[in-house]
Amino acid sequence: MMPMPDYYEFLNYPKIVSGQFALENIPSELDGYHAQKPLVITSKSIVQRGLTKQFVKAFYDSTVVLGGIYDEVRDYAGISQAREAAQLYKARGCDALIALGNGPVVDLAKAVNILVSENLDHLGPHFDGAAPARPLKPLIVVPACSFNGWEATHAMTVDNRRLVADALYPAAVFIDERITIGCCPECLAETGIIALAQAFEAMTADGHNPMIDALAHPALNLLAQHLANGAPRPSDSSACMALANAATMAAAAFCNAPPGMAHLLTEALGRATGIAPGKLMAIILPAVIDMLQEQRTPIKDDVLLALAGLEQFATSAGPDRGRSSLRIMLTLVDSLKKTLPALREAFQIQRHLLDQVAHEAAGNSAGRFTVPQCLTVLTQAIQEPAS
Amino acid sequence: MPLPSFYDFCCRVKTISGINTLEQIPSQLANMKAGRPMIISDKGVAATGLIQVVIQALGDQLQIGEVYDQVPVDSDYRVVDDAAKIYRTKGCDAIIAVGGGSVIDTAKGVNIVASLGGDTLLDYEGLGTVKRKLKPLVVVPTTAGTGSEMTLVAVIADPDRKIKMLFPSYFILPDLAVIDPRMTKTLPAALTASTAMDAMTHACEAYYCLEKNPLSDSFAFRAIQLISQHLLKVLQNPADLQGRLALANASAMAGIAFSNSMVGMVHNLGHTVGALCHVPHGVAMSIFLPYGLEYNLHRCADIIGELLFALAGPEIFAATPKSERPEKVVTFIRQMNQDLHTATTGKHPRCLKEVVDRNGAQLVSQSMLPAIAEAIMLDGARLTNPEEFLPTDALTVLSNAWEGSPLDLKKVNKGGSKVNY
Amino acid sequence: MNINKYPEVKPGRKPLKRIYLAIMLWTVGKAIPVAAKVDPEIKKEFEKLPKNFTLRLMVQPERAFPLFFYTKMLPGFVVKNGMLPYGLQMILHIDAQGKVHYQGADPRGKKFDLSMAFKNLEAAMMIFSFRESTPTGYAHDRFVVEGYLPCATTFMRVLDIVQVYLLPKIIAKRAVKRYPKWFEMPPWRKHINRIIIYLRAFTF
Repeated sequence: MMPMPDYYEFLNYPKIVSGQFALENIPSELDGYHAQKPLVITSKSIVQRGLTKQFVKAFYDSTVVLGGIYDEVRDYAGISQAREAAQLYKARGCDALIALGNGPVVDLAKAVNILVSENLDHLGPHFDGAAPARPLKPLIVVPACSFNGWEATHAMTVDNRRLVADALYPAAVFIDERITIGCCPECLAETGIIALAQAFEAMTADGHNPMIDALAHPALNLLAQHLANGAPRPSDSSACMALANAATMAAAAFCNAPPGMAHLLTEALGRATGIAPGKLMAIILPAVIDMLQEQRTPIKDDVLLALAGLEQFATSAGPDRGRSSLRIMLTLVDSLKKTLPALREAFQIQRHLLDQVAHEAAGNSAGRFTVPQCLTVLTQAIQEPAS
Repeated sequence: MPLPSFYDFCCRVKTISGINTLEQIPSQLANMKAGRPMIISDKGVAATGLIQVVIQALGDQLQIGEVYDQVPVDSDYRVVDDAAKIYRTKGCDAIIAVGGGSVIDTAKGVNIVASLGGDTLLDYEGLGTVKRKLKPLVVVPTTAGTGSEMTLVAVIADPDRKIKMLFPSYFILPDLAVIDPRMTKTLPAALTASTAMDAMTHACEAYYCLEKNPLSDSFAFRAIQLISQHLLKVLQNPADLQGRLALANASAMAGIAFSNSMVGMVHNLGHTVGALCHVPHGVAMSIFLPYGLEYNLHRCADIIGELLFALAGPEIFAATPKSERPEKVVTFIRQMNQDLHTATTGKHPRCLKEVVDRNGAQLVSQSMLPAIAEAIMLDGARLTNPEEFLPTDALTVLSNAWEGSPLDLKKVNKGGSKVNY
Repeated sequence: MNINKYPEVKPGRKPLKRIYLAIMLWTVGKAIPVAAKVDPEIKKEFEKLPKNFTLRLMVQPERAFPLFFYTKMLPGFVVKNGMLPYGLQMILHIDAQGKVHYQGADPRGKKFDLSMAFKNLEAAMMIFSFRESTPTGYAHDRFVVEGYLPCATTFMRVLDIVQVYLLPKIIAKRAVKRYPKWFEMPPWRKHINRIIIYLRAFTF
């Protein structure tokens, strides 16, 4: 049994609503905040897939009028678009925000939220460290397609700059099979691998926080059950729901824990090369696990409990538990090889770039990882497999 | 952990926990731009000196506007109005609630009146009257187990109309819950046992009742693990701060679990004997818990069997064949009650007939059981119990619980199909 | 920026589901007063409620379909005589003698001691099409209760028994937690009461 930590802080702000007819609950949820007219922010690809039509149908027979569907987001959230959306928000007299989509959509919605709640025209003061003073408008996230892991958290990335503040947490996350279903296998695999890394690193982070464990546990459990079969079958609604749920829980756990090595490296490498984080995670996570195996880092029993379930945990011998949990993690990552093949671009990354990335990651880790450690993992990650 | 066809989960109160967490309150309040809190508490808490502990911990970093320790056991709206008036005259800008469920609910009510203006809480009755963010509210629970710090409803009585008014709103949720073992360090052994068993019941019921979901399961499972590992140790060594901290954490986690997953017949019976015979909530919980498990055994044996892992640890779990696990869970809880009975030198009752008040008089007589059984229909907790629970069923359970004899599983009314979560 | 590119979206309507629910609510509403007369258990449950008590079962939002929506489609006298359902509601009143009355679907001018509201149309459909039992619906937060809470559980028990009477066993089994055993509700009593309820509720 782990001793209780001497001090921890924990916050899991968003309400999670998941399941059949979850979307139909949005009007009554908005009513709880006395909001009647949300602005929907979404991306062109979501509109093309016909998801907005499904989404609008959920509001039939309610008194909620959608103030507009701003669908200009592509794969980048920028302040100019946020201004446009904020202008639309004000012109229509909206009182809430709904982000229908993934990463950049949610980032943009969070940015719009600051602009409209504080009546600003730019985010300058907040990037300089000022926390949003007032409680923001209610923001509801309806995740679709691949997650980048930050949707349900208190962080946003606008114009490649990150802002973290408790006020940025969405008020609620609605997971509905009508929206989560039908994306490509690659998207699902990326969502899965990021969630896997987040949950694993949150659980194994320094210090033992029982609340984080409690959030990461179901995430790991759902991933262990559904990642391997679910990722190649995007039309399997139960697997899609499980992965979306796992991603939400993992993110909630992750944003309470200090970021782990896989995350710091993925992020730094992503910034340097512009490759999607899910694809990078697929090569970096196994390297990190390899390192843990080599260094014989003790791994908490809870990880195996979450991954393998009660029966298998109870029958395994005490000292082996850490190692078997790492083995299961590797098998899970390996099971995605087909849907998420190793990246050709990644093997051509220049050496000096790696140095720079390792320095950045180590610098962001608040002294928990050293530059040589990061470099070792990186070098191993981008080694082309022998076959 | 299968995903249910529908669930929602919400535990949005920021929690800080640790050995010296009370000292963090000033800086946390400063983040919320407040510096002159009003402390709300009750006489019982004041008598144990806990308020002094809090005041000392707050130090001189902030001014305390007022210490209001007049909250009665069954608080009503007049107390709220009274406190709100004092809040305003003293120019406070935040509330720190130190106490159990009644204090926390009162503090939520005071926050409504103090933040939104007006003279009385009655103006804010009904759905949708609390429409904006209120003043910062910090909650320091002193009894491990109520879970009120995590719920978004305030329940306040109106003695004139003899009803309980509900104030449900996202905006009355506390901003911060502070878990500090110093608040429970001085709790006497019998109370430690019953409050811990209260939390244990929250966790167990959250694990098998109808509204369960993977997140509430996970919180409940960990709470059970913590309680079964630490409770007896704490009773043997009351000054064990690590153990106290673990119990307080377990109670908070059980609170998160059950406020999202709801509770079942154990609470149904507990609320009823509490209202009719004034049996303390924790005591009633620990007595009825084994019966709740037994009664629902045929509906969710697999799920109840899983609890053995949390209660007894992986070794015993692995050594017990799957079909025997559910019964073993029940035996284990009974044994736990027995151990607590021994550890508290007989102060922790094992069955209803052993429950006595301060003067040693029996609280529940056998002749009252039929009346209690009828009254269970007035409590909402029966709706989320996996098996239907009617007065006739309640009478069987009650008479067994009065004697302390196990339930005859053949006599339980069975029916319906497997529960769909 | 041209904001007209992003038009407002007004909510559409689901008339068929509303009609289905209106019929179901009407059926249950008509059946309960009769059942309260013939079934001893329902009678006992209603005795626990205070006298002069008004309760309702409804589908939120109350004002989604105000009277005026129907006015264009229906003959004028219907509107004039207030025969229109105002939203989807079922109102029951317990008078000073403890008798139960069905008071239609018009909430105007009434004060409710207890209000049970389905959060949305689909939630009500889940329950009234028996895809979800009442307890599961409660567990899935499909409805909210406002007012004097202890009476809500009483009322849900009444609903359970009424469902047993109104529905064939194969469906009622899905709607309640435990279908009554023969000693809880003997078959002869069930069948005779069922006939009485159907006859008296829907003939005069």
